[in-house]
Amino acid sequence: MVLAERKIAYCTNYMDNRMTQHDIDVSNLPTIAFGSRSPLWWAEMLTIMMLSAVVATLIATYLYLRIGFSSWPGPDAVPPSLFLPTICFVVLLIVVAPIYSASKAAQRGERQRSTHGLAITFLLGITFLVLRFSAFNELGVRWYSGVYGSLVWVIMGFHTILTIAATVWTGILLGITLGQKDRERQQMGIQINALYWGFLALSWIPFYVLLFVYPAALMV
Amino acid sequence: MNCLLAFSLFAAVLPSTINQSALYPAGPQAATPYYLWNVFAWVFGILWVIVVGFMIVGLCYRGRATRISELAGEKAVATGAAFTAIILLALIVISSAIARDIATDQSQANELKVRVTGHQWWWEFQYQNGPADRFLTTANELHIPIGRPVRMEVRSGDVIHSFWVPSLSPKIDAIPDHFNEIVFQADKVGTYRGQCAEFCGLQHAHMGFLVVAETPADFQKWFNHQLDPSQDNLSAEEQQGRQVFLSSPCVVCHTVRGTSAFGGIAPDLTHLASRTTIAAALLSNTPGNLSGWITDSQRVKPGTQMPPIDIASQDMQPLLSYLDALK
Amino acid sequence: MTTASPQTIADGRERDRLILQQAWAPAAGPLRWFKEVNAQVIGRRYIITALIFFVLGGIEALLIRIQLARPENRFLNPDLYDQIFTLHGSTMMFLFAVPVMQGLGLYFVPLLLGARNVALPRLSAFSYYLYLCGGLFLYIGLLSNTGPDAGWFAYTPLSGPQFSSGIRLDFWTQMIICTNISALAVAVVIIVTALKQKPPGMSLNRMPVFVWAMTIQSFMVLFAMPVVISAATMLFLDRSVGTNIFNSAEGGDPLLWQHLFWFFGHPDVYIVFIPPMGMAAEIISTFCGRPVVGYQAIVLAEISTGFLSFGLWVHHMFATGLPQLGTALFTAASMMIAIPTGMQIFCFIATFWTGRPRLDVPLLWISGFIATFIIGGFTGVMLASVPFDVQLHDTFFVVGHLHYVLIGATVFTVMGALYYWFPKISGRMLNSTLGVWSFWLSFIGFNLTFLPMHLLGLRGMPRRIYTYQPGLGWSNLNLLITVGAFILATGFFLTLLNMIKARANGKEAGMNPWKAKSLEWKTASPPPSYTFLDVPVLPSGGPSEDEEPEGVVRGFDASRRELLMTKVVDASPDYRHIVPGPSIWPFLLGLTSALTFAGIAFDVRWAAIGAVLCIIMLIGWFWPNGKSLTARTTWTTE
Repeated sequence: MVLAERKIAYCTNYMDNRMTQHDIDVSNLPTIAFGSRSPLWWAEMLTIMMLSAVVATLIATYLYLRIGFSSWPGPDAVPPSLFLPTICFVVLLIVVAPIYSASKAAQRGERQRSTHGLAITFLLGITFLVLRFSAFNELGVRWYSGVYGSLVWVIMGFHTILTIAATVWTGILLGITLGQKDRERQQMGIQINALYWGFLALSWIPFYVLLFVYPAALMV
Repeated sequence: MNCLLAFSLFAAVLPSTINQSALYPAGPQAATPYYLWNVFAWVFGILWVIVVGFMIVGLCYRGRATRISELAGEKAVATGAAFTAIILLALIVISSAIARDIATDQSQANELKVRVTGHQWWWEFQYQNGPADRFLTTANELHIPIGRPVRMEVRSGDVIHSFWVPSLSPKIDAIPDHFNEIVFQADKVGTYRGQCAEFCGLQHAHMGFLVVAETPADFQKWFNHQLDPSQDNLSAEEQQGRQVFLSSPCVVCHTVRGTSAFGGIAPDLTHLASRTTIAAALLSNTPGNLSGWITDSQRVKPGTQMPPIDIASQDMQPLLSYLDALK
Repeated sequence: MTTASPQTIADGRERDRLILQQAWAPAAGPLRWFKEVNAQVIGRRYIITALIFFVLGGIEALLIRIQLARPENRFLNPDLYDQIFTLHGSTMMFLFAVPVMQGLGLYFVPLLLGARNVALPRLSAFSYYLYLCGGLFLYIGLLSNTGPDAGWFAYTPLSGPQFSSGIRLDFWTQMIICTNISALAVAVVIIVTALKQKPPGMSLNRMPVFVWAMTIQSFMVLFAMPVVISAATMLFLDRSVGTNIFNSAEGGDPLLWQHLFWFFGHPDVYIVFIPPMGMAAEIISTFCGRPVVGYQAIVLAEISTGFLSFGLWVHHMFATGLPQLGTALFTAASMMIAIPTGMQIFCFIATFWTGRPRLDVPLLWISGFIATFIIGGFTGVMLASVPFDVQLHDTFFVVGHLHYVLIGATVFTVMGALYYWFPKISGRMLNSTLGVWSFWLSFIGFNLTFLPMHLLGLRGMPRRIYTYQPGLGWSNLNLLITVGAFILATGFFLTLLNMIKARANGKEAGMNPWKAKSLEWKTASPPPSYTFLDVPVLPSGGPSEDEEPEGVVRGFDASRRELLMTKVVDASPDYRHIVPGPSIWPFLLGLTSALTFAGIAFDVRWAAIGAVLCIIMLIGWFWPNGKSLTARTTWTTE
């Protein structure tokens, strides 16, 4: 760890004759840690676990309701074309690279590289959201028509809200780092933002397959 | 006013032959859970006394030294856990065997088939045996012959209800666009009361029905009579009453076969006078109760789908006479 | 090590105390109530708020009992009755049971670990405000006579747009979302605290049982609450914008709601059952003068209960017409879960036998819990059997069963925990005579109320009915039950009275009135805002998990809020984490998100505005501000 620290102003319980051999001196321990040493990392992983429970619930809901239909996506619905959803999917997978590199840079204390990574991630995030909104418009179904329509809109809506949050978060981190106001906590925050983007990309895989690829395959 | 109403309902005591209890089974399907209850109650009653006895003795201690060692305590825990596991395994086996036994998959030759549809807050019964012109639709009172299995196809017309007549049968939910089935049989002549057992809105509490178990001969007589819609030999007052009925809003919802009333969304009234209760087993079928129900249903059963009907005072008596003639 | 004069030592400790007091000072200024982030303050608020909701839920219960005391009673009309029984269940489950556990967890998990605060203090504060607002929102519905009226379980299609028009059920869905997000936030805080902040020497296999219980419960919350939040959101969407998830006319399925709700609902009851087992373990070990017998067995039992509880939900749906083979599996699982549960009870009883029990008031409540909970457990095993359940499902037999397990395991234990920990929280002892009276009145009243309900169910009385006919053999039992309910209420009221009186003029408690061994008793009552002057070092290895500390952690920078983070498994010191001090952002974000969820109930388009506001609050929360956070750091270049 190469971050310098200011001198400790006042240490507790230091240097008195009550010290025993079992006492532990923590004054040399760092005040920043990454990965599973950090409570913020744990908070993010636990949040990802919660969101995975939602993902599982949505997948289960989709499969449960699908079983009730003899033809899918239902008698009147036409599955949307695969073009825009696939582009979105690819962009989402690509976005993982710059934020991951930003996270690594932050852990090594390289501000410039991490700022670059954040900027690229932010731009890719915006691109993804624009494409995603177009994809919504291109859906042949509305949320109130049939079950497939409801599922597509609910699931895509859920994922889109999460992605908006991720992009805004990246933007804020970018702002903080550009303004050179960041402290240890914000540097830890970049790693956590990377974890979140990774989750978003991973969670879209089952949704992309179930919502788009599977119905298209059925029509063939 | 409310007290008076409550008292009059209180006075509308149901006949003493009514039975609505899982502790007085009148057929094999109700006898099984009753038997299980007896086994469970004894087994668990004794186990409770043993475990709580150990706890109380353990707590009542005024000495200084410990009574048993840590190892002995751990062994006791392991023994208890093993004992628990064995008892539970036995119960799982017994329960699953019984469950498999009473599965209603196989249909038998002489089953009486009835489709029951739960509505907010009444029960529609349609006997579906033989050709379609022998299908009988009635409401809130189900007659069955003793000794013959009855297969109910249970449906719902709106929200989730649950068909339950405890003396004869466990319950099964009526779920919209789901088709559930239950088979039960009455072995003793009598009138058994059932009630909706899934919260279904404002008048869930008053969604009852009666199951009248009769000898096969009596049942056949009842069934044939119910199928026959003819209304001959009506007196002048009763004919006037029929006029009142047919020109009132009643016909928008109710059906009386043999007349032009084909509402279809409320209880079938063709043989209203043959039923012992009205308003889904809420009130005895008396002229007083009937007139109160017609003119102010919301006071008796607030929230019911039936609106208060304005009947001119000179028309009420003829109407009641007519309804009384629908035997 | 240098020798120093006593004067210097005394000064050194005083200097430590003063500087710690300054660094950990409570919030100041006119908005100080809204800025608190201290875990003990937030925990105490949770407990008090949960107890207020408990009283409200109890009043609702008494209103129900008055209505049911006589047949065809007209005390409550069906509309009001339906709102009241819905609020009773929702209040007790969402606004009392889970929050009171989390409040006790927030207060005592750091203390049991010798920590100065939780690692994510602002998150815990935020969750309190969201919980409070969610609960208030629900009651606004009731008080304006537009309260939800489809039961705490809100089955579709009754709760859907066609049969529950208007805003009633939207109060319910939004309360669910708010209170369960709050519960998730606290779960995260507790897990992080328990795993990362154990004192040196307290390896994972020597953690106090209550901390294990709260950790396991918090993992369960993480997997269960999101399911009900998703389901409630989908119900809200069905109701507000016309999606068809539960709409059978378009191919949706109302039964799906039951699957989703009970997939959450069954773990939920274990979520409110496992922490009480942990509390019981703490109380029993203190009042028997020894650690609980079978520590490893208890922990493993709690872990397996946590896992198993996710595989039982279908036993709430045995009457819906599911295939017999499927339901048989759930019968087996529902019965098997009684094994780890029973094992814990046996461990408790074995501890009585191997220790020297002192039957003080907390232990009295725990023994009441054991006696009543076992009955509830037994009726639960009965209901796990499908042929039995299809007769007794949705009757008062189930009402009896669920109250035996919920009041027996959750409420009696929480009462015991309140008597046990009240001295630590307030610095005063509760009156033990009043405590004994409260216990016996509650115990007798409880059994008078809920034991006859089993008979009522067997006699054919369904549940959730606002009245019943005379002549069915139910009337006298219902009257008896109502009388019992008032006795029970009196019993609980005496404890409430006890707490109020003791706060005013109870006996001083001192640091350790019960002569307990766990760490929370090694600091003042109530603890100072920095909790421990000496962060303890425990002996490592050894068989017992409540050994006396053998050393002190030295070398914190006392001028800022530092927490010692240790490794997850062996609790060796890892780094010093700096936590923020008082902050207004948790309140602002809590209020904004609650208003967003509430506003959506009235008009879906509020979501956009609300989201923007929440983002602004989040920026405020996370924007670096040198005052309360870390030291200035310098980047190196590579």
